[in-house]
Amino acid sequence: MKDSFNPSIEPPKKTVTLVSSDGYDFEVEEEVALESQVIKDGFEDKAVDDREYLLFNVHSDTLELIIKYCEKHVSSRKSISAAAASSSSSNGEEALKEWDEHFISVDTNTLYDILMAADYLNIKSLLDLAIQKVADTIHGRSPEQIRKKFNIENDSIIDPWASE
Amino acid sequence: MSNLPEEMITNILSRLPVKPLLQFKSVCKSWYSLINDPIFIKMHLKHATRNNNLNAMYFDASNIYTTDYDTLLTEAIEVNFPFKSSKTVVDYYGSCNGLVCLDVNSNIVIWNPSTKEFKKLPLSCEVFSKRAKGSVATLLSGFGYDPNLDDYKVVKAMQYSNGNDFVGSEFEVYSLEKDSWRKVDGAPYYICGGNSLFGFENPHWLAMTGRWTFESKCIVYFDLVEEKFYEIQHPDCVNNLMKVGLLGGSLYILDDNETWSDIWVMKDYGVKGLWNKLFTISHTCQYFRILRFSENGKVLFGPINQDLVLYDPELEKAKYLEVHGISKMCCAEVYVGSLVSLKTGTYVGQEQAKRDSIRTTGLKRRFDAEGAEQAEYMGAAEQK
Repeated sequence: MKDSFNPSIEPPKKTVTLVSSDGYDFEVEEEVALESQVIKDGFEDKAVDDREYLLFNVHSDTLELIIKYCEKHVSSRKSISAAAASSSSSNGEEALKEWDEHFISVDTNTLYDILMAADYLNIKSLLDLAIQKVADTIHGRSPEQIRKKFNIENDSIIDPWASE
Repeated sequence: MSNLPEEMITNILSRLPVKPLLQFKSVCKSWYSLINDPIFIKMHLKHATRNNNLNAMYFDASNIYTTDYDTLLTEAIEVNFPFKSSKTVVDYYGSCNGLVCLDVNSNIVIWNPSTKEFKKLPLSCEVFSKRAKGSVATLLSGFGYDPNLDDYKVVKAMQYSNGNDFVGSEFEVYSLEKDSWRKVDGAPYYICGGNSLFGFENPHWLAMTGRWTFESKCIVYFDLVEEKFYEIQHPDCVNNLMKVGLLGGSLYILDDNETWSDIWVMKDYGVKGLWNKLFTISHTCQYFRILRFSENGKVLFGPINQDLVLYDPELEKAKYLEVHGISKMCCAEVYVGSLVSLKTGTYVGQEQAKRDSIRTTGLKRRFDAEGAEQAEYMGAAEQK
């Protein structure tokens, strides 16, 4: 049977395969993968049929989150610039910020995994988001709580100004 | 989860306000050295400046109040400051990179209100010749940073006028690195008195461009590297240049027209002439000053009869915010919370802390800037 011609179907998008450390394949759109500066660098030099990336440091659980983040940012950017082009008001940036805040509100282990993956893949906005989140969680903790959290041995000499 | 690389820890810590960082110095030795490291201090300052982490400093007749990591700047706490006494007269010179320069009862001090460290400056040359008898002298002050020499500098000047004529001025510049004052050539303008404006490395003021008369105002700055004066052009249509400042990396001016005010902004400060009108307020802002621009486009003005005003240009609505903890506010300034050190090891309230510590913990712990190193040294001595 022949497919009927349908003009609304877009040409298939170019995709990239990301392989997680535990061996799962994730097929993502090219522009989503390019959110990672590491993938972006040297992307053009790679043959089109060889666009597969083995991410030895990123577990599939984390990679799924990272892809979700990149997809959201790519689509939000498009709608924000579309709103700007038609000069209609949009609270796109505000909404994205809220989305980010919700996205990064995860348990400590997941947060660290996202942090390390964002660093490894060099996704600057996500790295900033995760770093700020860790900073916010340690703000207000006592030195003792910090030692526990970061597993640091107390070799400290007493600082007179610490108690203030 | 605990095995974050050192680089990441550094990055995380550089986003924190000063107060927790001072506490975290006692986490372990490596955090202690990191938080004292000049490179880390610069990194921290960069983040604090970029994220607009501003604290407010409020003054009443003889006291100083600060806010602490409170985005609306409404929770003020009275603070101890250098040379505070029951009858203190405080004159504000300027603020840069978290350091604040004050004249307290004729002692000029540079003070980091976040770390409490301060430096008392030596007496200035004070060779003001008071030229042209009968002329009126006004004091001008400024404070800034010389990035070439990594040095902080204080500017003090006396300007003379006779009726409507500007007679001349005499300038002195203090270098923290050299710990001394020297005279420099005066400005060819009458500078509209007072302290230098917040946010710049070079001290900026409003000035009169007319060499001998008080005519059109302009923005001038004293380049601390070259030790020369420069002018910044403002848009031609600005009638009454009332306020100038640098907030969030942009130079702004407030043009007050009695019944309305325009706010102009020069993004990418330094690129000449690229001014944009940000918005118009249907009100005079003659007596207001802008304390900060918030991320969401709102502007914080203050103080206006003890209160701050948060203005939303989009909705054209203003909200009054009461400042708690202070009864009679005279003026307000802002500063960045920073760890920048004056390398004096002298802290406000240190004497009191020393006495308290002797009472409570004996003499084992030394209380000075190098307290930790000292303590370490003493600990080693004890073990022997």
